[in-house]
Amino acid sequence: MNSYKSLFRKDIWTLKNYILEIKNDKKRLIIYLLYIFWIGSILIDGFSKLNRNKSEMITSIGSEYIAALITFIGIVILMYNLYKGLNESSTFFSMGDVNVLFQSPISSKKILLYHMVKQSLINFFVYGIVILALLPTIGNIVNIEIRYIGFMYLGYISFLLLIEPLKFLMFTLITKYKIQNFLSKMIYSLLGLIIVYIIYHLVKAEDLLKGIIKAMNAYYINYIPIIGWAKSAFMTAIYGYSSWSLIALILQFTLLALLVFISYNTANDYYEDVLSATNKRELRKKRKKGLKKRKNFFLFTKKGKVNVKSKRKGPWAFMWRAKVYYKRTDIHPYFSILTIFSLIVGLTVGYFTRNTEGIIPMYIANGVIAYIMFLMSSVYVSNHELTKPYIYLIPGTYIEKIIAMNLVDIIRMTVNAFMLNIALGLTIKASLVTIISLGLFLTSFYILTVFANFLVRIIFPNTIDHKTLFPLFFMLQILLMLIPGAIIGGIVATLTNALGFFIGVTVTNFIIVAILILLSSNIFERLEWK
Amino acid sequence: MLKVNNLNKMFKKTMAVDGISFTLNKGDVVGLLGPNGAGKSTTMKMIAGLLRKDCGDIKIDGINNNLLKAKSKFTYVPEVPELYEMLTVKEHLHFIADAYNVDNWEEKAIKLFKRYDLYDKQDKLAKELSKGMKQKVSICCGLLPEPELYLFDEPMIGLDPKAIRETKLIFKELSDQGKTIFVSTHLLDSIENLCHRVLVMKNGRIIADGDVKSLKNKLSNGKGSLEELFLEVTKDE
Repeated sequence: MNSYKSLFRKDIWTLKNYILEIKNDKKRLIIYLLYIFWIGSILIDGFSKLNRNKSEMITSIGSEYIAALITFIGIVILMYNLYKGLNESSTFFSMGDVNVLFQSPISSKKILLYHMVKQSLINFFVYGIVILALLPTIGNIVNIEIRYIGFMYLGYISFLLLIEPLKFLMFTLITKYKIQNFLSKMIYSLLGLIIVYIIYHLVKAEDLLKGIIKAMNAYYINYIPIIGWAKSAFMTAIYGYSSWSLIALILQFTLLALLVFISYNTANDYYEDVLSATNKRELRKKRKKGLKKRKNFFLFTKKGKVNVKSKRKGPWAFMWRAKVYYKRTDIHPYFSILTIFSLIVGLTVGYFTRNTEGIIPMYIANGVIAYIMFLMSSVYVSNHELTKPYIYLIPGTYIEKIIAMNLVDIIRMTVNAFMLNIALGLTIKASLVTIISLGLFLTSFYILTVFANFLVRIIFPNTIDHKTLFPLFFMLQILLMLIPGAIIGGIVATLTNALGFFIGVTVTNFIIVAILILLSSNIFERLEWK
Repeated sequence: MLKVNNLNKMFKKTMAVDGISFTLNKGDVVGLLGPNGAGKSTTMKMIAGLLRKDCGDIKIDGINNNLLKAKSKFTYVPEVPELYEMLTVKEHLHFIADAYNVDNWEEKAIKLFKRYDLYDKQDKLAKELSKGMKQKVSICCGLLPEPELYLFDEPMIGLDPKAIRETKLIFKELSDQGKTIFVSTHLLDSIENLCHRVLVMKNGRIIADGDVKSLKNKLSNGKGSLEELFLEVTKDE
């Protein structure tokens, strides 16, 4: 049978099985519909805002900021992937492909071409969700011409579609022609050039923000492949159409086709190269599902022996284990790279808002971080300990287990929350009460997201639900847990001031957490090790 | 059938396979033994073309192992049975039949399903199967194309006693048909009466090669089990 036909047939079976699975489990259909409604609401909201008039000054400044941000993010993503591509290929395969397909008498070139095209088509639609989600925000800042929205979408997508084939081809060339040293020198030189270029503009502009915007928006950036071409197409919906918009877009997709073509003709012995990347992708999936612990910043990973003293026994062994883990993979058991990041964010936000009256920047910073924490908790679930047998087997009370299991993480987050608020609070001269209240607000929010993990395990014990629907279930659940805090915080804020809202939310969160701890015996009795 | 000559593989600074050479003839059932980290799985994966060799030759029926013509002459059952999660048991075999151009595949698949107690699980998705069941499906995928050479990496792990017995019977049948089997395993007793010859690997090298009887005679005057023989040859000097 034709190789492409059999590969296509395999994917059709997979698709059919997905549909059958949804058909056999109506609950899942509801959730998928919710996803569609969510995307639909974003679209409706986005498009309804596009035609609203904004002042010319706002749209002019806004478009400059957006253009600069796109270039900056593009450079960061590209350089990061080029750097990663020096040591690791990208993958378009699953572990099933590795074990079943790779050994079969189907040409490795055909396998590669088929999977590259398939992945590009999937990504074409999947990555689009991000730009759809961002559309209302962009529409609030600038006027978007609806008829050129296709350029915006294709510009953004073309950039993302190019990254993986580029990384794959780079690694293939490295292994085939042994040019790792040459390419790493090229990449470091390019990085150096970019840094010098930005510094030159910073010095010239004598202002941090203006300098970066000027550097990122220089006209010649538009002619740089991948980043500039994508930006030109993307900005068409904001700046308006020019013949270059179309040329840039055509060039982007021609480059993509060229990369796939060169990969097809170069890669004939790539199986080993993609093994490690495929394994890592599987691991990432497991981390997302909470089956594996997230990796910390690689620079701090220590391979040798680490010493952590422990005197307490029983369930408190979990605390010792967590400390060993963080001591091995981070700066300190209680201080992480996020602590440094919190300090930098606190000082930077404080510096730029030092002349603002009141403590609104603190509210905004804490609100944004709580929001990010909420979003992240739905993507990365931290219940990996529940997937191991020890929590169920080690003798001890459930309250002890639940606290011991999470205490180190909670302390780490408390340190980060206070680091941010102390740095920011001292810079903008906030009161001690404000600093403590907001530090506790973030901590309480984190603890609530941690405890939500236990609940979700009981409410949705089915592992199939976990895999596909976990993020949505989890977000809904947290929303339900947050509603009491929001209501009480709102009432307190009405009676007192804005800080009252945060205090109200914090107190409510801690009450909910206390109730959950008291109910921990009931929670654990319903938990199963799967 | 299989000729491996001066095969080398290095992972960073570790020499995983260090210049090994051996030949398997048609109808041979050869066991590959060795402690953890000896290089058995790496050797298997290099023969299957999943890992690149640093140097050396691998010929299957005189053809370079990476060529498509060679790939249609062997199948490989990996150590960890990772399947396509969203394909059913039957669809896995259907796909293999497509990929290897197997005639009358349904008839052959049903026979295998019956032997491995998978008949009533044909329409189950791979993700719904236990580890042992996945291993059975993986073995069935390896057996369906009926190639000349079979590579098995720890095939008995996770199998129930009936499936282990069935696998041993199949090995015997295949050997009688003149097929070549190269099996890596830790379960020494399960291959003692099965393999015509054993290769023992340690630190990437082959430290013993011969039939079980002659190796026993050489090392312990024919007394003791294969396990004792294995411990004897792999002990640290």
